[in-house]
Amino acid sequence: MMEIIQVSNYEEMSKRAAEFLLKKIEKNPSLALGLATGSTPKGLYEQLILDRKEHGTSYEHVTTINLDEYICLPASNPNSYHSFMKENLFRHLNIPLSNSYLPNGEAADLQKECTRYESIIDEKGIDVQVLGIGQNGHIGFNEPGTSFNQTTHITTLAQSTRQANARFFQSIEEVPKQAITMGIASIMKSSEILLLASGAKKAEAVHQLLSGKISEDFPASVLHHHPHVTIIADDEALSIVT
Amino acid sequence: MNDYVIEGGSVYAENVVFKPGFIRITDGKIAAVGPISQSPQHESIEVITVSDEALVLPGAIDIHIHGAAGADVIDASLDSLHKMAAYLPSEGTTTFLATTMTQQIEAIEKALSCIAAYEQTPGTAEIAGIHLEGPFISKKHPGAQPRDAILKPDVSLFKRWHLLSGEKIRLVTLAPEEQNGLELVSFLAQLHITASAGHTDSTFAQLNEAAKVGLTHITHLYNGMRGMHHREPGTAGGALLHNGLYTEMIVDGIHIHPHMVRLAFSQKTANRTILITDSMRAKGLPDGEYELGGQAVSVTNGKAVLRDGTLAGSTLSMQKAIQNMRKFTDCTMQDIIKMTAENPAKQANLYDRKGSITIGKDADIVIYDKEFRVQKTICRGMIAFQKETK
Repeated sequence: MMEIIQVSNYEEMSKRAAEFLLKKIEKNPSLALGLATGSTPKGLYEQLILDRKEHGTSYEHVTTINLDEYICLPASNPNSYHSFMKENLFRHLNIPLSNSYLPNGEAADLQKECTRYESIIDEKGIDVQVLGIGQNGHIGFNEPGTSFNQTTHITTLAQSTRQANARFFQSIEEVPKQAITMGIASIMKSSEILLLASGAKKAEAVHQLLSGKISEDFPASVLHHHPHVTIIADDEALSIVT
Repeated sequence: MNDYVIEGGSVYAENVVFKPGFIRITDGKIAAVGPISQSPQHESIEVITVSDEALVLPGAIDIHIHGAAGADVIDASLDSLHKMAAYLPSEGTTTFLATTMTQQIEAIEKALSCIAAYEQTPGTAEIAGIHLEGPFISKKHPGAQPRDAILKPDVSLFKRWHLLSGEKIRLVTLAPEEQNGLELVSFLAQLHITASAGHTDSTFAQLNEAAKVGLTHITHLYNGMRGMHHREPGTAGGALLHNGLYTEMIVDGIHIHPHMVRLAFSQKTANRTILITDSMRAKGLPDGEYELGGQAVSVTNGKAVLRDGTLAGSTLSMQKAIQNMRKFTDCTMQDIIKMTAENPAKQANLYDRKGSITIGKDADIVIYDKEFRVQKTICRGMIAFQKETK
């Protein structure tokens, strides 16, 4: 069943999401947390950092597993997801680096890297996976048309996705063309899913998700098959009347 | 009030919960449901605001209930039916199957014709049909069904009764192992009437035979049936093991031990469990002396028994059944909806118009507080119950 929590704006969404995760961590200090990158979860991470400062929540036993990483972009590049996570979250919390996983986009054998990453997901067992939603319904880097049975794999980014991400780079040419991403089947293995959506730009995608139509042309629709999904969305993201 | 909205609370639509959400109700039907921001903002539309903590659920469908508030289906009185329909929204029930019991043929026929003549009253629970419990049952497990009125399964007698009832019979409790039992089961299946094993001595093998010819339902699990034994799983064991059989339970803590509820729930899951009350006329009334199908019943602390100590129906309310189920098992909100609305709607062949908060379906809605106490009940768009505020 899908639970839709409506909040007024991005800040509220970030706060509610942080409360949601902190409650889980309180219950289970060795939580395996699936994380995402991008502007949507950034506010959530800020809230977690704030909480860490105020309440000293410990992440000593928490495991984090990220959704994706660009291919052929050095981890040290400020636009890599390794850098994003380090800058926006990891360096502010006490998560041991050995407990934080991201796909290695620089691996010599990328196919092997996919298999390795999937086995990490299986071994750790993600308790809660945080997701954003793309304007075309992508989750992780699973673009429309991706099979629901796909596990961690190499994907070619949709032009629209590259355009959306170009704002972080000097030019669109610099945006990598490929990425390693958890597949839809990998995401569905998670016990619980927390999807965040904010802003009018996401309204169309949220509207389509809520329509209940399930299709590989709209990857997020697979979530209707998941038993435990919570969506925290703001007024603007929920502005299209069903 | 034929166009209004309910705003606030957790609104449990089909497969989606909106926190907070809204429901628009137009002409007794659900016209829209969604997150609160999408609630229509016309001044002309009346708004019922509920608290953020409230749970807004599809109304319960009680497919096994004999009586309440001093009235019983077997009274064969329109007044009794009206009394039940008016009372039940107070416990979260918006629809029920008027359930008859084993009686002499004339008494059953009177009750059936009475239900056939019944006209639904707006603002009360809907009598969506009939559950015929007995007389085609086993003399070995009569429970409180009078033994001398028990008959062998009889297709032609059933046909006569079905016509007499205005074809309102939707569920039949019978003993499939009795002579012509399987014949009746397959006849019912052809008519899309649910055949249920109850007050039965079916062995494991006999129950599975019946399931092959169309039996899909088990009446008040554990009660009135051949029990489970490790050398002969019996009706109870067969019911637990057959994935296709929907299983009624009386979760009052009296008819089934809480741990046996847990056992059944872990085996059947919410997908195949149905909460029923099986209540008799003493529900909603004080302890004391009552009557059930011509037998004296004494009610003490809500427990109803015949002279010989046999349990004689319950005084359980639907909201109490839900509260107990939450206590006895780890069931979720979605599970509660399945067990009280979706599954019974499917088994009573009503799911096209009831059993979920879905656009186009009847506006049968219950608003609970977070302890599952009924605050407000809406039957086909009309407020049928409203908790008094102090």
